Amino acid sequence: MKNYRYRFRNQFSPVANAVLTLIAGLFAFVCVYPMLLCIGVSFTDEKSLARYGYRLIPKNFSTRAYEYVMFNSHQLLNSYIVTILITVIGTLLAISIVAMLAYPMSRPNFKYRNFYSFVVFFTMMFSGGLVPSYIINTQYYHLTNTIWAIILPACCSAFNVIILRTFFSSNVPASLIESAKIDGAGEFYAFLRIALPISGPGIATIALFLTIGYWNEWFNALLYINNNKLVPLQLLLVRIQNNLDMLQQTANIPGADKEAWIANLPSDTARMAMVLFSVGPIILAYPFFQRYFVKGMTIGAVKE
Amino acid sequence: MVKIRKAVSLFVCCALSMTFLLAGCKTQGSGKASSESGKASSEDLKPYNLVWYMRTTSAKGDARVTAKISDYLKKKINATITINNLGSDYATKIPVIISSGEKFDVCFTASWVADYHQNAIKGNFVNLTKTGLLDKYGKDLKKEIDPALLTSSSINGDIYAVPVNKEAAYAWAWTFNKAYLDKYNLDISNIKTLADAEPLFKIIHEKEPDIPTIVADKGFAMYNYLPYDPINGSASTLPGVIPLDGKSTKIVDQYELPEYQEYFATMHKFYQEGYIAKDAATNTADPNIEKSGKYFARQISWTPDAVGTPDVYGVTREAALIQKPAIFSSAGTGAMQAISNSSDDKERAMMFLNLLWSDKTLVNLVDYGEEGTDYVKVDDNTIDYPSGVTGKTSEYSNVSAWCVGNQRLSYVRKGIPADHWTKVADFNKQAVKSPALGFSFDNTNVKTQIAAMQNVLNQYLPSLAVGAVDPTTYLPQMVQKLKDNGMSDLLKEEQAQYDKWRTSKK
Amino acid sequence: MPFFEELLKNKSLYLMTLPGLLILLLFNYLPMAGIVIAFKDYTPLLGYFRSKWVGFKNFEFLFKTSDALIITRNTVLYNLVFITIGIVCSVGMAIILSEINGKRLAKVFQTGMLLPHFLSWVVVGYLVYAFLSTDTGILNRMLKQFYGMKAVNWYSTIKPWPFFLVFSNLWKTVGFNSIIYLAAITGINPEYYEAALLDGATKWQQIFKITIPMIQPQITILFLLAIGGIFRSDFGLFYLVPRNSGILYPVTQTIDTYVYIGLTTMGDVGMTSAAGFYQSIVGFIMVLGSNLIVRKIDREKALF
Repeated sequence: MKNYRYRFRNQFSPVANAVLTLIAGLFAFVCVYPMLLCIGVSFTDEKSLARYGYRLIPKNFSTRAYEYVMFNSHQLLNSYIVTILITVIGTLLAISIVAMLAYPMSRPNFKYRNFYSFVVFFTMMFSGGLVPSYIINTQYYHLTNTIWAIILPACCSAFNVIILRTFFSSNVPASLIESAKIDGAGEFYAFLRIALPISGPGIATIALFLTIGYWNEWFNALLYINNNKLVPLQLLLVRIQNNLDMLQQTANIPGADKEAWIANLPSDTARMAMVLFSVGPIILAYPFFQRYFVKGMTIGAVKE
Repeated sequence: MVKIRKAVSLFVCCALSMTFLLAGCKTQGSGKASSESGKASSEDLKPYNLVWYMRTTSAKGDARVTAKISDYLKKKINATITINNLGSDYATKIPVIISSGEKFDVCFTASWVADYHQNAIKGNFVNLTKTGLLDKYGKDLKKEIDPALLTSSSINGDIYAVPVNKEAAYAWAWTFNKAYLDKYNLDISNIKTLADAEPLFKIIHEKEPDIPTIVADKGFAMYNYLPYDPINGSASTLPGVIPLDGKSTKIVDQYELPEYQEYFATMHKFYQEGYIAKDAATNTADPNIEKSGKYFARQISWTPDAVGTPDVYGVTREAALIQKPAIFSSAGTGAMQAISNSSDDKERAMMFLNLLWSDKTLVNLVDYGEEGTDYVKVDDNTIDYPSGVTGKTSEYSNVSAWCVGNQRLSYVRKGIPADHWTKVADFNKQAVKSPALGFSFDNTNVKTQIAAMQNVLNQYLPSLAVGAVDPTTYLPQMVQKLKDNGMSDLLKEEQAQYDKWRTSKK
Repeated sequence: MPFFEELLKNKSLYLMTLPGLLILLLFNYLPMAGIVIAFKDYTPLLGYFRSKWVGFKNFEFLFKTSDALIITRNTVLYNLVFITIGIVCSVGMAIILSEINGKRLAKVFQTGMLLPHFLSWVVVGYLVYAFLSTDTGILNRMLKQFYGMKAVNWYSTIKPWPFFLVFSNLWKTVGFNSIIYLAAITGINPEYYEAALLDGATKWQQIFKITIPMIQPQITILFLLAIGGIFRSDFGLFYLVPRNSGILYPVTQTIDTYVYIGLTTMGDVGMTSAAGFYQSIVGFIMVLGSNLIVRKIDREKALF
């Protein structure tokens, strides 16, 4: 007699469950394996890379790549702090602005919501380009050498607004808000006390995207930050890598200063080590936000 | 939908008109500044701060050394200086800085970064000849620079940036790893052309099958050894060359010349014999090969003392020149310093450049830092690090002398031969001067064609250059594609400008 | 006036949108005026106003090439494949992760799948090379060992590359994109499932009759937004992963790589701006069209 107990728990049959778990696991493995390879390479002696290629377990263990990156350690610590500052401030600021823009757009009683959608969406399609933005940010807004040059341009991304709007319209029923208004609540109060709490997954999604985005940001920093004290992590790592490449390419230019220590510079191994420096902390962000992706957050709301 | 359109267009119009207003104000503002002529006599110069964009990476000792430089400049021309070391960000940042019209005084430029020609033609760099700045404030500078360098960096007879005084001529050559030459008792004195080296390759490949016989990658460009001057600039692979011997004034497509076809065929033979790595066409230069010292032959554009002594990895190479040394039309554009048109005091900037080319103290301050702290003198012209300091720990070791001013005046670090500069001067004197020296091509009318041809070249040339594909099929394909994408327009335009320049020169 | 009446009626809602609108105005719309550069022979001295107007001259290079058809075809086809397969895989993975029994295992898988997003295409290019290199690559070594095959020069073989590229793109984006769908799934009211279970629905029926329809708003929006990028491509994927191998151009060259290669030597601001504008206007028209179609089917699901 077949065991249908799983049906009552509303689960897959053991066979189906095993197959699906296998598929997910396999894909997860394919995603993780390259990272493991990076770790392995970063702990390898540079010379053996050429002979043995990339291997998971290094043929010749060496921490030289990490030593090299740590050589810039006072700057490394500083950059971590700058990046954390930018990420936290940026994410909090952006969530507020995006949510406050997306929520009205999701309300059926908001007459111009299609106009707003168009205006927001339009910014995703058309852009003046690099030079006009640079001119305006440096000469008019005077954002050079401030962290605001990194935070502000990204704090109201059209993509986030549209995604959050869709979440709001799916998860926050108009009837709920209406009943709150009948009880005397204002729109903003309804937004704050009713809509937000039940929009956990949507807000968490946007917050995660913002956190990852600010953490990885380096191009605006390259353009607008000259002060070394304000260099965020990713830009520092990009610079270390470019300087490494430049040093090795110019090492033998006639007339260039021939420094013996250049002979020992890590190249590919440093590249991999820097991946870990930049990914390490942020990978903890996802588990942090994961607890908002819990089913049934909206139960209480509808029952009201 | 119509209502939305109306509202949107109103909104966008408001935003756009606001910006035009702002943009208009700004351009008028900068217009005023550049029309001021600022006549300052050398006696009562007002204090001014120069802003200099450099390609070097920033170092711990920057602030200290910059202060010393400012002190020195104050005494000489009553100016202080701010040095912005953009390091590896330079290539990305400087075009944006220039395009935005940002105010600065001097910046590093070359044919390969902060595109010298483009910026000069667009008016971003000051025309030093027409404005008289070069003659009035650059007298010492003019005395120092090799005239061939000055000529080669002129555009239609005018100088828009001052070339760094360094080697002007070079010759393409094979270089061989001395260790293997000695091991197998190989003689390179008879190697005068590309193919002459073949017997050596055969021996090495047989005896040492595991090492790359010829180190080749994406940047392999040995076809440059053929006696032609590419008039589009040294790094350009665009069609349009002129023979160095000056016997013909016709600009031709190099890829249809028999010598080039022969080159590609030879390289293909080498590739098939296994002398070249199979992925050479897509590889970037791999520092690990250099580091290991396990390779036999490499390309080089040779200048005196380029090889012959052990390099940083302890490997010594010997060169066999396969080209007569020549000064190409792109000679001076390897490293230059330009004055920006957005500068508020162009005279002061010119005075600064004049010092950079003639004042030994200033040159060495910029190149090496403070005497005693950053370097000590070993003898009159040689320096070394102070005891206890190495290249790694030095607070100021990042400036490459070949980027700045006058190399003749800068000290040399221990390890470089003392007679280096006399050798270079002789080398320059003996070299063949390209008939196109002083000509520079303005690509304004053929930009569309160039963009298309660049893609074609990117597609075919790397594989052809290392011999990875059969040239009998691929080369005609490439040539046909170049023709389809406007090669004849480019050649016509090049010829027209070249002829005009030649007749005006007389 | 009805306009002001509406504003007053929902005053707090409109006020909420002000910060977002301000940011969009300052950082998106004002710089947008720079689009005129695409139609001018721009020099910084003359600025936007006084630079010479050249009409469509800056756009010519996009069409006057023998490869114009190839780059357009590649860009569009790859995008269509990426969009369709991408959505199927992302939605599928989100469903799998939310439905398999081992919840803790699912969380671990989720975190792992996010990792590829953090690896830049530069690093991925190196890893792919470690795999596909002719002499030392892992693939060739395996083929030799298990099948006795001769080493294949993968960077010169055209046929497998569309698969390599599609797979690379999937690998990098599925984990990240599935987050949105995951969040949407957690927002579904569990009562629907309970009711379906009582009616005797199997797990599979629940997925197709409840889950997928309930997350349809997100799917539609993401689909529409993706259409907007139909003429754009991920530069890192098409340039760095194939290592700019010329032989592979017929299947790896896109509009973006063409623009990059064509303009790096010339650095023409006007032409770069023109290329961006061309991509924007085509995408914009496509979205307008698709949006109209979606409006006809279900007005609420549309973008605007």
